[in-house]
Amino acid sequence: MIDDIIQEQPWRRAWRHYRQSRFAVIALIVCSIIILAAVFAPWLAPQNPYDLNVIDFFDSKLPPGSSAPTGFIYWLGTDGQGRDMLSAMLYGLRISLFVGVLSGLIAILIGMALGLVAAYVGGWIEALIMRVVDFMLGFPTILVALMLLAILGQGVDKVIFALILVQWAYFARAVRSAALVERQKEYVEAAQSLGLSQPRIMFGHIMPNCLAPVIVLGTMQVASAISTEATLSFLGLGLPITEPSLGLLISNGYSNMLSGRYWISLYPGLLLLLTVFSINVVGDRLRDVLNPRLSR
Amino acid sequence: MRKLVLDIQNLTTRFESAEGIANALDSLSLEIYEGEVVGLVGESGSGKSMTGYSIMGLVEHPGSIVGGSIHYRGQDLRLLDPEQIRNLRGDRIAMIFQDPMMSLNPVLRVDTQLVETLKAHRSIQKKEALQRAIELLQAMGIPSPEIRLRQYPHELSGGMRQRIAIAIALLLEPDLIIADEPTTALDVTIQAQIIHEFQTLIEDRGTSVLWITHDLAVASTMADRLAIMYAGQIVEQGPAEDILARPMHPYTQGLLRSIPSRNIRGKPLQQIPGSAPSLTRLPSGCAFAPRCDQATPLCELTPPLKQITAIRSARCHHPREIDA
Amino acid sequence: MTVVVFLGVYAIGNPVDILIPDDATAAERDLAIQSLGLDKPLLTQYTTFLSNLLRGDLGTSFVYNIPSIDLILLRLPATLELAFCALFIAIVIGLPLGLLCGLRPGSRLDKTVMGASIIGFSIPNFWQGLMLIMLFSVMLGWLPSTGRGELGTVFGIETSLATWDGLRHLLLPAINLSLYKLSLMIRLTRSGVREVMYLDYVRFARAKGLSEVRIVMVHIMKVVLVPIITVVGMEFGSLIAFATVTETIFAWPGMGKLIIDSIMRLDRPVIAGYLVVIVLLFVLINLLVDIAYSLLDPRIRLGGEPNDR
Repeated sequence: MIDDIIQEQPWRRAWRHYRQSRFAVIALIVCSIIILAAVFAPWLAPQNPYDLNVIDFFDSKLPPGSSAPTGFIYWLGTDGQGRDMLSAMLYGLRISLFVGVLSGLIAILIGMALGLVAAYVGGWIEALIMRVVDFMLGFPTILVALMLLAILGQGVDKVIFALILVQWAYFARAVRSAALVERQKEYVEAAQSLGLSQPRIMFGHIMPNCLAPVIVLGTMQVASAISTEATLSFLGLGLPITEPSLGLLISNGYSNMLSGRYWISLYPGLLLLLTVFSINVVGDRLRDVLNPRLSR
Repeated sequence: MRKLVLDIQNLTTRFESAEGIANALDSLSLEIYEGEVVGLVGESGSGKSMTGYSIMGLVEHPGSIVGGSIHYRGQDLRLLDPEQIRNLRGDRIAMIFQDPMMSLNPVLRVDTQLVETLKAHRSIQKKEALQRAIELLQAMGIPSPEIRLRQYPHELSGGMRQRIAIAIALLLEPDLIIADEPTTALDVTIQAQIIHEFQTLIEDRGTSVLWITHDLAVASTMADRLAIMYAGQIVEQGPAEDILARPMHPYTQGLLRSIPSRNIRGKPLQQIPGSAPSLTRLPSGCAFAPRCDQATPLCELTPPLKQITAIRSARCHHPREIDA
Repeated sequence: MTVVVFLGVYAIGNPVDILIPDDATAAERDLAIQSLGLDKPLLTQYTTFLSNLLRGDLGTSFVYNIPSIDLILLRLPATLELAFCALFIAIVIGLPLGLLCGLRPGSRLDKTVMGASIIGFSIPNFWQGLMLIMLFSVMLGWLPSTGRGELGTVFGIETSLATWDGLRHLLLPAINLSLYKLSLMIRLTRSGVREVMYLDYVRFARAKGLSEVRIVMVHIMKVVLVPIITVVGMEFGSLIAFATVTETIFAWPGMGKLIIDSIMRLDRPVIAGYLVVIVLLFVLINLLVDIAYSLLDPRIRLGGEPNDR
């Protein structure tokens, strides 16, 4: 009888469920590799793409595998300025991830806080917050981001700001829905009758139970943020050329494509695709694992 | 000699899940004759609904029928191919579900849902099908059938919806209707009405009915014969009056004792101690033994089906009469 | 709303430096500033803006020197054409695929398509466009890479669907724009079907002896279509938004390319005009979707609640 009572830890059970899809596990590994590569880029990259002393303009637009007079091998070729593609990609990845993750995290914090407040406090505050959320969600992210950057101009901080602005609403809505459900549950009544303060109940009790959708949504949103930033950079509205993200690299290679020098756009694009794809696969799998309704 | 409409022998329906293997039906045997109403009574989890689904071939993954036979007028339903089964459903054997709001499609009109049943089994024009539907609704005493037909399920009251479900079942004049708790979701007053109307309808047509319910009182008003189910098995079977007056199986006795109207004012309500077992962890031997006040060590062996009279049987080591 | 638009647009950048050549004399400069109205106080500029707005006048493009509203409306049909084609592709391929996957969850088809759909919405839109051009234009030379083809007239509307050349030019950008929507469509349909598939009324329909085909096409699809159509409607707006990227890559002469160029060149009246048009468009789409939803779901139309007893 005791065996019935001792249950598996929720984390373990979730991991066990997650593990059942080999595909998802591979995606998780890929994700980790990418994150590590981005973090350790300065040590991993064979060449510093910002160091003007190392870059030789005459080496520009070389196909993958060619070598410089110095004996240095350009594994993935060089771009229009003579930069080693591999190094440029690693640094670009670093920036892309940094922007995507940072904006995602801040958006989560803001969205979660507002969503919790809306659900718990109710009344006109909730109505106001949700009105704004509905308004923001009525417009496609890319459009809002575009307009914002048109107004604000270029710069890393401005891009991050724009990304936060377009993302927070998703989290606010998701958290509010989850919190509304939790609010009806008995443990909230119990906490209230114990005389716990409102913020404590909100953040200490309700919030931990709302984490599941946030985790899923957060993963997918980070992927989306990375993709959006790349699109903006590609269009010339995103990060400045002093801090090239993968999007900018791709855009640099645009004009070279028609002359057949595909590698300048291809490889950064593949890396971007791989990053976004693996994050999305992980997020998708997490959604199946953490969703009680679809466990058939 | 009455003719046999449905003959179920040793039917076993099994579910496999991460928690284990559960036999929703365990060697279940039941006979239904022409023109009779058989009441299948049991608590939730006893397998009564699964009996209905198994007959209709509607057992869904992860469940499947793993043993036994279901003979409809001599034909083993398990041996038929999907198309043959589809032809039988709705036409010769019909089913009524518990909650009509859930069983009627909310985005389709009532007439669509009636007509499509007719058209699935007869080559008939839509106009004629509509006419038949109107006639049936009129015969059932439903006022203004033409208006009802053009409405959507959510526009009708609960009782009316269930009448529509009954109409759908009667449309093709089936030999057998399986009614799975058809009145449980309704108000008590409507319940009585529907039961009465239903009784009239089937008596006129001579339809056999398998009336599945958890409510022994309702079953006793409807049924000619009763079959009491527990943990996937039929533990007692026989004529309704007989069982109600002289129950032999301890579970049946417990059920009868716990009916509120049978209890004496002022004395504590009688209940069967314990709760229904999980089907994945059944005790060896008699499934009811842990809760039975007459259990003996013998009950750790699987109880045999004891034929008490020609028409009564009980699955128990010690069936005996108790002062009711 | 208008304040936001105005402040946003009129306070950014410095069109003076862009539109007036550096070698202009001070006098020429002053003249230009005056004629473009850039010297008036902000509040005056705003009121002029507002009154013009109400008259349908959204200013004159700094760059093209024609009323910005005309400019936008000129390019609108091209964008709409592209958007509708992309939507068409997404529906025609996405709906059946999603349906099949939903009916056979866990099958090889299901897993493959679902995996592919994740790729579909992970691929950065613009990169995918570049690759399409690379493959079909540069390497294979089958399709043209830029521009819009010849226009023909169908039902009085000029469209490139009417000519073979037009279709050739339309194909790649339409595919590019549709890919994201397609993936979404497949996933949406699949999850909708999966939800409905196990509900009681499907079981009941089966108990009535209806054919599988009828059950799927009528009972399941009709219920599933309601939320799908509303999502599709809302997503149409995002199609128009994403068109900006597609049009830039394929040099498709639509609204999207116009706005990108305008942002680059700080052509404020056009930006303001675009914003207003877009907002109006979205309001219209939302309205149409609400109407469609109430028409399709009889529970909404006839005032019942979804699970009325």
